[in-house]
Amino acid sequence: MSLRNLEYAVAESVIGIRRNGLMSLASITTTGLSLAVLGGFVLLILGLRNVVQTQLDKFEIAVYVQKGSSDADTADLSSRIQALRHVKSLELIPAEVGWGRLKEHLGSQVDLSGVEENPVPDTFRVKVDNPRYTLTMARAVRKMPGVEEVIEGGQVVRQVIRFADLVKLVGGCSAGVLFLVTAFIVSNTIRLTVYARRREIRIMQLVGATNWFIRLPLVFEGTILGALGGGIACLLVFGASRYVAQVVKQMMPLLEQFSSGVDPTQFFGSLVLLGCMVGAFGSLISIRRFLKA
Amino acid sequence: MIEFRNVWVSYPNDIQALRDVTLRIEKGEFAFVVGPTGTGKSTLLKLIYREETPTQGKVIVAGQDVTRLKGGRIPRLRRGIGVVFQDFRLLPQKTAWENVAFALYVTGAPRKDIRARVPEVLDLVGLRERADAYPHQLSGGEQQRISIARALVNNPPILLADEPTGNLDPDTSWDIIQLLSRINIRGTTVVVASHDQHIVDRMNKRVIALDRGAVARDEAKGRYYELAKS
Repeated sequence: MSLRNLEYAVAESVIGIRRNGLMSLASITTTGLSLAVLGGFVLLILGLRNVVQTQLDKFEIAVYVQKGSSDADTADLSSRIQALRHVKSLELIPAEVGWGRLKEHLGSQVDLSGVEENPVPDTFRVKVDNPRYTLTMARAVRKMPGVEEVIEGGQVVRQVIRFADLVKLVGGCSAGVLFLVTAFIVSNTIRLTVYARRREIRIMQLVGATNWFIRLPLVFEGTILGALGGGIACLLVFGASRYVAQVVKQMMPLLEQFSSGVDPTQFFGSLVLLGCMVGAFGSLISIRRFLKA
Repeated sequence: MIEFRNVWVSYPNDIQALRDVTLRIEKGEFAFVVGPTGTGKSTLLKLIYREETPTQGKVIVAGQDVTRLKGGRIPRLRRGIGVVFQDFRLLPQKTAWENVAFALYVTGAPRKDIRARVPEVLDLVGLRERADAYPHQLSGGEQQRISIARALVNNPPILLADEPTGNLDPDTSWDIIQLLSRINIRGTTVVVASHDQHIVDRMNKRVIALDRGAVARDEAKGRYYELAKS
């Protein structure tokens, strides 16, 4: 394939798009809409996952140290806990500090002046690298000597985890299905533009054009249509995501932020790239049928 | 130049398009393939430019067994064969000039060769002044001339015409056949499938008559019908 042929292919693909204006517009719009639905859905799922993850990250285990433990005992316990797998961080809150915090926290509502002795034990706050292990870890820690009591999220943790799993599964499956549907729609639309050219393709074959010579402009055309569709999808998703973020903020101010946590450049880049790929692939497949005949 | 050796073409539903066709067309010959519609004329031509392959037998074009040709080699074969159709098959969005240039473009010819060659063939078919017209602005005869120009622009040694006058009035038909004849005199092998009795009789060239897929008659300086019948 010489440079001149490449130049011809690019020029021809642009001419093709302009000449079949309405058809091109239809493909671009269809591609844009389906990619926007896919992209928006993926963002939504990622956002939901992020919210759940943030919740999960907040879970920790509180380990109350038995009263009257010596500093050495406490240090020993600390290193034992630390030795467990999946411990992300370990923080010792000495009894006095804990008491101080509690007083500060409850002070305005409850009169604590009658409480002479510090009721708060030395406490370890343990964070787990994966909330799934919270319960097992709590169980393990409970068996250690010098432990008075272990407080974990229990039921709540389990439910949040289950919800996270559900989001992952349903989101993943739906995104997969949606991807296939998008690919199908886009390649079908591109197929229409190829079909509109079948006469031209036949004539090219007749005068001895090689298959690649015939294919290349159409593949470029599919790529360009896909890219433009991807661009439209980006605009739609961008607009929609800002709107959604605003609404979520108003409705659920407690949720610090509803963000998918993806890099926008990367995300929008992938959308356009996806459009290109589906477009190119769609035309390749559709041309195959005509080239064989 | 073109040789058929015991060629059979059958279609799935037991229809025999060609039955045991054996014939030779020499370099520089002008031959008519005649017979009623559906008798295999088009199939015969299609075998030459490898639009179809025989069920049995060999088709040899320019010393090459076309039936064994790999897919990637077909474009090269077709660049050596100009084909003209009853329905012209011009690209409607391209001008006459562009339609002709297209066939050269496709072969990757340099731009200056295209600029030199296109007016030459347009001159040959007598339509240089209509170069910028679109097919719909041209008469049937003019469109056919453009399609002939396109078929010739690569300088192919073989020109095939499938009912080239089927859509044209008698005078225009005669002009077109005269043009094909002139092209033949310049050295191109020309094969014309036709059921136009007047033209075939008037030309007095070789006639290969097909009857239900088989060669019924093959005469130099033949006529459309056997003399006894007409």
